[in-house]
Amino acid sequence: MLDVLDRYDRYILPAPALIVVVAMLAFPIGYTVYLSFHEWSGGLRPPEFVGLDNLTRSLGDSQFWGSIWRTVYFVTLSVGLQVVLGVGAALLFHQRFPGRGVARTLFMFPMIATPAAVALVWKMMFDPTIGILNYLVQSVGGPTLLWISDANLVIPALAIVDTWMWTPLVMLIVLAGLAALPQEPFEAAKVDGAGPVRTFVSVTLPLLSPVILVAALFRLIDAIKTFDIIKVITDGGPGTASETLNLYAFKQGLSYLHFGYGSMLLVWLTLLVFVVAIVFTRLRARTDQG
Amino acid sequence: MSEILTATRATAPPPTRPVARPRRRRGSILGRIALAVTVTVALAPALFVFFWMLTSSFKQQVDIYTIPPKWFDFTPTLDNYQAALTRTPFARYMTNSLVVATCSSLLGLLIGVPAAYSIARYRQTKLSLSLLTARLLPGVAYLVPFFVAFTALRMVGTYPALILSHVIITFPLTVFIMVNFFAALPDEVHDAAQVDGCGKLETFWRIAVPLTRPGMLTAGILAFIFSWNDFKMALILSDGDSRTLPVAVFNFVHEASLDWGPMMAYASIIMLPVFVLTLAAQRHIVTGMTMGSVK
Repeated sequence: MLDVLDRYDRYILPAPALIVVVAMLAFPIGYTVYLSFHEWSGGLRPPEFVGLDNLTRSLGDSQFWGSIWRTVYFVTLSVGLQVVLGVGAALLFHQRFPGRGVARTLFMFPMIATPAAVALVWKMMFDPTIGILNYLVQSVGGPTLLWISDANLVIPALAIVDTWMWTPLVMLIVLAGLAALPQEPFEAAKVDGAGPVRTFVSVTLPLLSPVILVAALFRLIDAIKTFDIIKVITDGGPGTASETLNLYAFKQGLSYLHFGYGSMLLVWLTLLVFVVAIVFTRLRARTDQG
Repeated sequence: MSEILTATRATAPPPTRPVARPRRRRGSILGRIALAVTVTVALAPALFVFFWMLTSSFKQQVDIYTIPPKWFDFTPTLDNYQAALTRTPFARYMTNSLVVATCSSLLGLLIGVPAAYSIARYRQTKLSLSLLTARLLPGVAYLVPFFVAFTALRMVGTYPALILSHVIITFPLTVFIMVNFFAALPDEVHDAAQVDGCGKLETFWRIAVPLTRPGMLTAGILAFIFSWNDFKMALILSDGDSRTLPVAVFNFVHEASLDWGPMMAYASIIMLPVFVLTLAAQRHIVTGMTMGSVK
């Protein structure tokens, strides 16, 4: 009996996984695409085919374009900050010092903590009157900020939270890259009499750039999908000032139960993620050759 | 797409033992002080948020609202914890979170481990790539179909619905971690087993699985943490008494308006298991996070 099964082991072993991939991944995506061509609010009446109506509706929907803009703004700001700070932190935690392991673990805490719970703490800290952040800002002579109640400040405020959470991931990936770097170029730079700054700019950074790109790609993809912290801290507010595409799609689909239009927005979101992934993959291929 | 996979693999070696840099001289006291200060500055924001959460959870309401803030000079109280535990069916939510996270991470292992072995052994890149696509797809994109399907099956609010939905979090994570562990097994191990008359499935079960137990522990812990932390799925697939802790605390915001003390107590309790697990398996966590970096 086992002999027979053994012959097909390469199909038997991954079979449960394949079932899950089809049932839990392929089917939902297929269904989302299917629904994006329909109008449906649930209930007993079946979805009504409306062709490309949802697509044209999205193209003329200023709220959709606004949500795309807010997504791009949020992602650029937060990932930019994370990459700069993450590389810096990696260089720091690459140094040898007593307690380095503990320090690294403590630094990682934000990305492992439960996002919905952490978001609440930030919500409290952002409070304009009782929040600790304004106290800190004012104690160094800064202005009173409304943070998440200010339509112009809310996206930067959320970007700060995202940066706080995910800088450690960039740090970890870059740290792994640093550990894998060859030593010869550094020795050569030393022989040539290059200082630390020069060594960093001319040797470390170019050697690290593929790893930094990977870290940035991971973060870009996930930042576009940021949901928990925005939902808990602002729920898209004030007004729609922090309503990213992810949140707008969620609201259309699951709060207002516009399954068809919500699905169309989710298709857009998915496309956005894939475009970013492909562009970055190309970019990476080029830096690898160069 | 395969580029991303190889990239992920390329960064896979754990950053545990970086090569020593000879640059910083050991004796330089000034250098040491500068380093200590920089490390402190880097850690401060990461830890401050948790410090603030914890201290606030032990403050009376009046102390929470005081400006300038009371850092340490307040009379600690357990009122907030009592409120958090009694105002909502806390034990119920805790049980939900435990059951869902435990079952979904075990299910993730059950499905993911054989698949990972097969991918590593037979280089099934297509299967691996389809999982990577799952990693790319926005989780919200699953929500509408899941909601519709589980509503039709009258499963919204049940454990199976939550556990199944969390499997799409736990199972790709398991595969990404385990592929590396199985790939690291030398071919001789398999050859020796075959010589001894072990069938292929037997080799997997009796040789490969026991040898990669540490990997499974890593995968299991990370899967548990990510399932425990999930908010999206539980937000739409649970209701009433079936809520998990992250959703319960979110609903608490609406029900109790902005009563920060109990909320901070709630938040602290939710994060406790995650931190305990992280400290228990810190090195493995690093490996797992950078490998799959699945959110």
